[in-house]
Amino acid sequence: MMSRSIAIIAGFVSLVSLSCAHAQETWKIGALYPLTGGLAVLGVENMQGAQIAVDIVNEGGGVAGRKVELISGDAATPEKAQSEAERLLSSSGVTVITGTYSSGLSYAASQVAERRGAIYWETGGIADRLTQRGFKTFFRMVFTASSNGELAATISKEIIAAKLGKESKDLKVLVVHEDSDYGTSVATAAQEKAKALGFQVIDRLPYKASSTDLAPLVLRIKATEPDIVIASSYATDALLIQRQMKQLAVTTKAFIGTGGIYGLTSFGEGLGTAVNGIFDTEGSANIGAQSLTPAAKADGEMFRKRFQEKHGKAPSYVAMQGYVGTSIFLNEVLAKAASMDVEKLRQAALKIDIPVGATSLGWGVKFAPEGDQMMGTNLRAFPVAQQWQDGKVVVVAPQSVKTHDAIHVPLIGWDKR
Amino acid sequence: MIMAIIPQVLVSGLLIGGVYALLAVGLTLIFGVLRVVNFAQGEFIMLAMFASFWLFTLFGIDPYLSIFIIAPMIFLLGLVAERIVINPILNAPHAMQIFATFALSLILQNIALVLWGPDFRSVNTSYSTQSLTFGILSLPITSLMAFVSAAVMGSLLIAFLNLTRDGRALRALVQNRYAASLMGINVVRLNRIAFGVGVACAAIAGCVLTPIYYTFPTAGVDLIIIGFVVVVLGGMGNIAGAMIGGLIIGIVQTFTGFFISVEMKDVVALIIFILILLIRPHGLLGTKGAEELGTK
Amino acid sequence: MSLISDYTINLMIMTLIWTGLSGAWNIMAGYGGLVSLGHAAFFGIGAYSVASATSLFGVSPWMGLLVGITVALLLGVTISWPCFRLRGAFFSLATMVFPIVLEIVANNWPELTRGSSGIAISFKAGLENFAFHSKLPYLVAAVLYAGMVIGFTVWIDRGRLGLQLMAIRDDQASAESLGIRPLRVKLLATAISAVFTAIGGAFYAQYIFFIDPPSVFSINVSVQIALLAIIGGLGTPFGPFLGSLVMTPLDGMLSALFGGGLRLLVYGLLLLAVVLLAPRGIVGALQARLRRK
Repeated sequence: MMSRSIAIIAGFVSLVSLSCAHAQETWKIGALYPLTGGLAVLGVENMQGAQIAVDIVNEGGGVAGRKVELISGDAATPEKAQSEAERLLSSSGVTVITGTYSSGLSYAASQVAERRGAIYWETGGIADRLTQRGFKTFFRMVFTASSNGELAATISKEIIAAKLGKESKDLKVLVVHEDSDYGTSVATAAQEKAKALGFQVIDRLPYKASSTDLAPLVLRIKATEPDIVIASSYATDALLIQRQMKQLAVTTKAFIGTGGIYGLTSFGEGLGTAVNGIFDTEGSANIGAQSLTPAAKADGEMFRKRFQEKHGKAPSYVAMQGYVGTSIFLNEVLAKAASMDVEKLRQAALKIDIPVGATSLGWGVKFAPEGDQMMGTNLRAFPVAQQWQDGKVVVVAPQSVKTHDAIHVPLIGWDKR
Repeated sequence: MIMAIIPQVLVSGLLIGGVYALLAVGLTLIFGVLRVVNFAQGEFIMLAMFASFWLFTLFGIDPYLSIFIIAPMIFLLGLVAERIVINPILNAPHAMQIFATFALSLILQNIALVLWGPDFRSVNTSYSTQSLTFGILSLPITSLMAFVSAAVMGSLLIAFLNLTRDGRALRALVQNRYAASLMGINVVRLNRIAFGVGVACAAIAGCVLTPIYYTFPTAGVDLIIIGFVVVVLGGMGNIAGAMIGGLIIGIVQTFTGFFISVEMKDVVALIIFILILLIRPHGLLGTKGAEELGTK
Repeated sequence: MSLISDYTINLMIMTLIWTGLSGAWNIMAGYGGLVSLGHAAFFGIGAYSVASATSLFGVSPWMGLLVGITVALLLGVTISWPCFRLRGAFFSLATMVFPIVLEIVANNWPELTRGSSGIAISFKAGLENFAFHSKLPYLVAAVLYAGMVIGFTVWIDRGRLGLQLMAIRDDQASAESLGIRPLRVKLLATAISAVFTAIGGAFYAQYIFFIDPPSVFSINVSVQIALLAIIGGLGTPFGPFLGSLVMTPLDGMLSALFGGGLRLLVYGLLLLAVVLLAPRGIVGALQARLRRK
């Protein structure tokens, strides 16, 4: 009789203590990505990368003994981004939000964060102006749109013109782009840099990404006979341009894409061997290991393996961007501040001084300080130039981070690829 | 070089016109018979694209052959949809009709999103990027197939509408719903058939488009807007009108895009749309005044 | 005030803004039978007029608001006039075109709109900028806005204008034979609707602080405001309010519960259910309940 009561009490006590152990507080971080709508394809991958960063940290015991939890919101439009940011900040009580993949969404959500004095940790939005608003708590891990466009122009000179044995003034460049903010800002930067480098820039042709037919654009390319085409596209348009170029027998000496779908597996799948030789400037999930510290290299390999196991496909740059961005926050900012106090987190972020090559993306981390025009931008992030070779994307520039040499300059005929 | 390209511009315009005709034919039939704008038409196209993609990826069935499997399936789906969604709102206030098909569109889009995710799928066949070349002209095989499919589908439909009893009854409904029902036509049954055939046309369009575009849950949204323009241009309920309208829009857009600016080609389609609505709402081949009958 | 979280207040503000927008549409579509699918055009005009005024021209947003109202009014009247000839689906299809055109204009006129980058309005507190640190003034403004639209709708509902509108909606030929001038009445309804929608757009811009062409001229805006009116009760003064009251917080809840696609699927099923089973919306369902008692 007695033993039964004791057993029940013991059972009860252990149950209570077990639940107490589980009820230990976690570090809560808001995570805003477009999970529905037109940007969902990459928004979801961005978040998946961030989630793996959290998983890894938690498996290692968390930060300062507490686990990390991502509270996610769906920021499909700027309005939703704003209301989800409000929800995360007031209902869920977070003081840090990370995200957002798209600059437009970031603008809206970070306004809310700034006014409430919360940290906004942007891992994907590239619009230059995001860090020109004088926001004290906005930090951006990635490179800017203009640096991406400029790189396209730079490799036109350093790789393509060089391999062709020609001066830039003897080469014609045509810039085509989808007409949203992303496409326009990258294309404009590319156009201006190309002009500055001495190229003959024939034109800059915007088009609507959702067009069902881009034959007029491709025929314009055919008619103006550029040597180099620099393109900033969304997704369906990128595929359409290539296919229609092949169908209409339009060739150029080089084709440079600038991020987005140009580096994704689905682009390669859609084109088959015709994709080989196309360049792409953006970040890379497979940067030359020689430029990385051993720790960064191991980190990258581990991430790639984990992502493949969890999601059944190799991670894109966008996934790795989410991973690295979130890892840095957890390991360098949260760990050092050991608190969710905004001022402590901010100071920890400003103190970060990681050299180039010490993250798996090949970047370093150092944020532009207060008072700087680009306050909050990571000064050590940079795009790289990649190229499709043998159905895979490899890094061909800058010199320090490349894994392969550029080939197929000038682009060989469609049938021979 | 510009001058030499003009013939190609014309050919490309005609070929995309064929694609536009494909998109519009089903829509115009439904619009003509039921007087309902099927805002979910793009989603039936999208579902067919997914079906075609899966048949190709899992079983290696060529998209053009998959038409024979997918079109009947979508036809049946259309019969069900008409029964559940369309029939109840045929006499409802106009706003209700619009939002019934809008709701259907939202539902189908998101079923696809939940089932297959937002990723872009592509079907890469041996002929995806091949063209037939005649001198300076290139005719992409996939576009040519779309053009031919539009022509065949359109002709079969016109034959159906003129030579069969049901077909003639459908034409009567397009001309004057009230009079037709007084003639003893089983309107309910014919509505159902018209909707089924209309979305089956969308299915054929989807299969034919699969080798050309990416397949993804919101693929129908962008495709169908031009469908509306063509339907209005050609005349509501008129198959030949949809085909001719498609060709006209295709040519006008391609020339505008080439000579003026690629962005303008979309503006031009909208301008044509508005002008037709204001100046000649019955379109090129529609019967004058017919568009008013049966609408409130 | 700490009892009611900022999130809840935000929800209330958004609910009221959508009430006003939806109510404005309801005047035209519910009472007038003019089912516009392009109201995003007026919304965007209102939003851009204040955003451009403050960010590009350094002028007070109130001034921008006046400009926006005027432009929306003129545009609404001039483009809908020829469209009134079109019946049913044709009218709706025609209205779809205008936001698309305006979006293209906004994208390609950077001097006026900063083009595709959109406008991020900088925050400078003060009534003259319609910017406040606390949420309370926004709430007051939202209540005033929604109240104004509902009030107007009640006035229309009970008054002669409403009778005339509904007569035209139900049977234009007979209405004409009774001496009602359809063109005038329709133009009036459109003008009112356009102005109220533009005001809502201006409020939105000054509250969210970021707009760009795709977000304010989107078909989703046009659909949303129509949807709320239908769910709440088309052609009734409080329909839009009830629709917004139910759907705006529901959307937030669904977002927290379900991910992406599932949430929109639920949305679509809900809409279909209302259209098929309860076409008179929440108001209709409530009225039926009351009558049974």
